[in-house]
Parts: sequence; C-alpha cells; structure tokens
Amino acid sequence: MENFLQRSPRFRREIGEWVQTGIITPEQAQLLHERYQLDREAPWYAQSGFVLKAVALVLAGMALFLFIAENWDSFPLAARAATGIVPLLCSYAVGVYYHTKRVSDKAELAFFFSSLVFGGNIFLQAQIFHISAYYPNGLLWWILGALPFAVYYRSTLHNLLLHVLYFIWVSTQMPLGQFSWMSPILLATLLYLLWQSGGTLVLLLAIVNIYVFFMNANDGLFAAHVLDFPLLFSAITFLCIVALPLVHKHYSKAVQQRVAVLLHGMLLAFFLFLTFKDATAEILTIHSFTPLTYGIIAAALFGFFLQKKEAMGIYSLAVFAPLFGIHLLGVLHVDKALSGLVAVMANILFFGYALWHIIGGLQERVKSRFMSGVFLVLLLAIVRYMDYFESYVMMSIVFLLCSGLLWGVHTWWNKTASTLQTEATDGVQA
Amino acid sequence: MNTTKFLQWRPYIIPIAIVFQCGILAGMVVLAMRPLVEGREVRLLVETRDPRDLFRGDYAVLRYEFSSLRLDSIANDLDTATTYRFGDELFLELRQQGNYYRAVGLWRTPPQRGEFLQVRVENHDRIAPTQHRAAGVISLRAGIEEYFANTAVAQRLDSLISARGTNPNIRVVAYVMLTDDGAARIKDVSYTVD
Repeated sequence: MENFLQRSPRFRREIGEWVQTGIITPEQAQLLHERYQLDREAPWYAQSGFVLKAVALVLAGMALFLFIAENWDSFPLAARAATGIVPLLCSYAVGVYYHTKRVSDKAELAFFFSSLVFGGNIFLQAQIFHISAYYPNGLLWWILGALPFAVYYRSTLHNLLLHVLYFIWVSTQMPLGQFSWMSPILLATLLYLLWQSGGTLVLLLAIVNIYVFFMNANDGLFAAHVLDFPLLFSAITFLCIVALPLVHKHYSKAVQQRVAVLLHGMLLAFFLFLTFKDATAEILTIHSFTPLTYGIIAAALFGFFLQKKEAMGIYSLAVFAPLFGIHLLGVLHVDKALSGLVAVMANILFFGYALWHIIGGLQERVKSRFMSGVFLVLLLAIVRYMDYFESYVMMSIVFLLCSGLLWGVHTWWNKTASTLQTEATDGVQA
Repeated sequence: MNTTKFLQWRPYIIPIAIVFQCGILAGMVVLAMRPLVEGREVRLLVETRDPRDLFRGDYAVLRYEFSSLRLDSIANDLDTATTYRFGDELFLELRQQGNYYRAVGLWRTPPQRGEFLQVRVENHDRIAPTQHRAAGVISLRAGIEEYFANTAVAQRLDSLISARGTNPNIRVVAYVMLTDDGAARIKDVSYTVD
C-alpha cells in the first residue's frame, strides 16, 4: 500500500483538498508529504516516459544481440569480448551513479539494461569459445543473474524480464522432455515477487508460466502424455482461479474479475469441447493420468474448500466437476461405444450450467449473469448445429426449444423488472 | 523474508547482484578456456550443417562419426538392460589412426589410459543385445558440435561437405583441445585435401 502512494501526484492533490476542507491540519499534511515523498517527482508507473525508455533499452539490447550474432571472428578475442563487457560495465557505472544519487527510476532502468546485456554476454562467450553445452543452461544462468535486481526493485519491469526468460527457458526444455529442479524454485520466487509487488501484465505472464511449468513437469517427470492435455490444462486453470484471490491486494476488483472471467472462459471452452462425440470418444480411451494431474486437482479442491467461496470459484467448480467426471469414466474403462451417451450427458450438463446462470441472473437481478447464460445457450446451439449438420429435424427441434426458452425468459425478465419498478414507485410515494 | 529483514539486507543487494553477474561470466570464461590452456590437440573428422541461432548467430553444426554410433560396431561396457536417457554421461575412448583420432570404445567410467572425451547421451534406440554387449544406436554429444562463425565462413564449411560428393578427398577437420578428464573445446575448424 505504501509503495502505491509513494510520490503519487493524485495523493498529493487529495491531501491538498483535505487541508482546504479542514480534515487535516497543514502540519499533518507536511508529515504525509515527508512520509510518502510527495514533494518528489512521480514514480515510474505514473509516467509513460519510463515505459518508453524501458522499451528503448529493450531495443538497444536487441541491437547488441544482433551485433554479437554477426560474429566478428576475424577480430581478436579481447575485442570481441569487449563488445559485450564494455556496455555491461557502462550500465553498472550508470546504475551505481544514479543509485548513489537516489534517482531510483534511472538507476532501475540502468540495471534493467545491465540484465539484458548480461544475457548478451553469456551468449557472446558461448559464441567466442564455441560452447556447445545444453542450451537451456545459458538461459538459466541469465535468469539467476537478473534475479537479484528484480528482488531489489520488486518492479514490473524486472519481473517482466524474468517471466519472459523463464517462459523461454522452460519452452526450450519441453521438446527435449527435460525437467529441471530449478524450475519450481524459480517459479516460486517469481510468484513471491508477484505477491509482493503486483502488476497486471506480470500477473498474466505468471499465469502463462504456471501452465508451462506444470506441462513441462508432467512431460519431464512422467514422460509425454499428450492425451492428458485437456484435463491437465483444465486442472491448472481451476487451480489458478482458486489461487487468484491470494494476490487480490494489488489489483482492483475489475482487474481480478476480468482475469477470473478469462480463466473461466478457458475452462468453459474445454467443457464445450467435451460436448462433441468424437472428443468424448478420445477421452474415454485415456485410462490413466499422471500423479501430477491428480495432485493439481487435489490442490485446487483443497484451496477451494479452504477459502471464502468466491462466486467465480463456485462457477468454476460447477464446470470442472463434470469435466473431471467425464475423464474419470475413461479411467474406469467405460466402453468407448458409450461415447455418444456420454456426449449427450455432457450437453445436458452444459445446458444445465447455462440455465443455472439464466435463472440465477433472474433471481439475483444481475443482468450480466443472465446474459452470460443466454450466450452459453446460443453457443451450444450453434456448436450442435455445426456438429449435427446432417440431422436437420433434430436441429430444428433444438433451435425451436432454444427460441422458446429465450422468448420465455425475456418475457419473464421484463415482467419481473416492471413489477419491481412498480413496487419501488409505490414505496417512494408512500 | 519479512519487510524488516528485507530492508536490512536491501542496501547490499545491488553490489551483490553486480558481483554475482560478473562471477557467472568469469566462471564461464575460465571453464571455457581450460581445455584451450591445458589440453592437447586432437583432430576429428566432421560433417556440417549451417543453421542460425537467435542469440549466437550463424554456426556450423559439426557431426562426428561418434555422433550416432552403432553399439555393435564399437567396444563398450554399457548395461545391456538399460536404455540410456538424455543427459547420461559416458566416456568415448579415442585412438589416433593416421592423421585423425577415431572412436574405439564407449565406457561408463573414464579409461585408465589414452585419450577420451566426456560425452552425454542424446538418444538411445536400444535393441536386443548381441554377444553380451549392448546393441542399438546411441546418439552422443561431446560439447563440440557447434562452431560459431560469420555467415560466409559457416556457409563455406557447409559447401565443402557438398563438394565431397564430387571430391571425396576433401576432409573437414575440427581441431579440438582435450584435457585429461575428457573436457573438450574447439580450437578451429578447417579443411584438408588428402
């Protein structure tokens, strides 16, 4: 909270108004100015200039990489090494200078550039000495080298760099089926930094990295399980939804809601996938899942029952439970010939879920929930139309039913809304 | 780490970060230079390909006779019941034959005498063992498979291999510095005409 108010121009204006309206005295205002450094320039996140400078430094870093990639092998070793070492030392010098002068935003940018150039130097040394070691190790050392600056600044800029490097590092291991024990340690560190300092973009990248981490772990530790993907991905999504409230202190309700809706949408997409008979038939051929998959599901369920029951968590459980149940039918060796019946069941459950939202929206007078239910019904209808294109009669019946349903709930909504309005008007007049 | 402890340590993080980064780079250089300083030169026959690396630029992929070995064609003490996995460490014994060093054995422990390379398994297609010896094809990596050069040099090396189709006397040779414990570093890649 304190970091958020540091050098905030809005907070400075607010304090001015408090003094004018007599809420606080000028002496108290001065104390607040000193505590939150309000007499100093606004922090980086209040200035778009900081972002532009950071982007400029990224481009400079990429320019250095391209320069290195040209490979000046006709030059002496010292000269080639200097192309990387000199920018690195200069960035340290600039960073230390601004750090000692307490110009923290410029110091932060300088050390960000240091971290970029440090990575360039790793690959420059590999080029000079023709080091043909295990490629992901170079990225690992880059992450480790950049980590202390990220720990110091706990800023979006440094955290973004770490998350991007982590993603590339894990991604380069996945085709090789390798899993490093540094991976959970680094991910835990990155999530700790996220928990400390926030950042919407960092949150989104962290979610992506959670996915790649678990998929890499599943492949690397238990050998490739391509067919695990739908359940594993869904389980990770459910876990992320359950865990999202842990970082609530850095994000507004709107941001939390949007991220939760995005994750929930992905879960619904997999549920919709299971309404197809071909997909269900494939799922029923999977007779086992890795311990990691079950572990993630257990952790998500444990987290769900442990915490306050957020609405999105309940909706997600309502989607994940049937999804998991259908996968369990495969584990129980249900005959693949019954895939049609299972698919019908999935369709009924999906429709029931949509209906639950429609009815819930009507009862709670929440239009957004009502509309999301309507949208899901329409989506199911369109998908079924495309899937059962051969059966015109069946689809015409389905569409007629959907039409009747929508007409009915629309009428009911209007009737309920006008009744409420009448009651409210009578109440006011009374 | 709670806030108070973090604030106590915070002033030291910047100097630690700078020293840590410099230490990583210095360590890389020391390890990379060790074979070049301490090693003996061996010549290995190569084949090449010319791809590009996002961070390191153009390079030639060097493949050696041992990059993909038929285990029934070389002496070895590999476990016949084991499928060796990516990253498993083995030792490739080398012996000079004419102008070049050739692979003569693949062992689980370093040979007592002679030159040997530390290698790591990339892939192992295991089949039924023959004569109490492991069989199948094993792909190995010795850390000397990439030679970074500017575009012109990398393409020239690649074109030399193509020229071998019409002139089999062309030999592309890697000059490798090899330490006593099997660590290797490429010193140079060139070609000869026998």
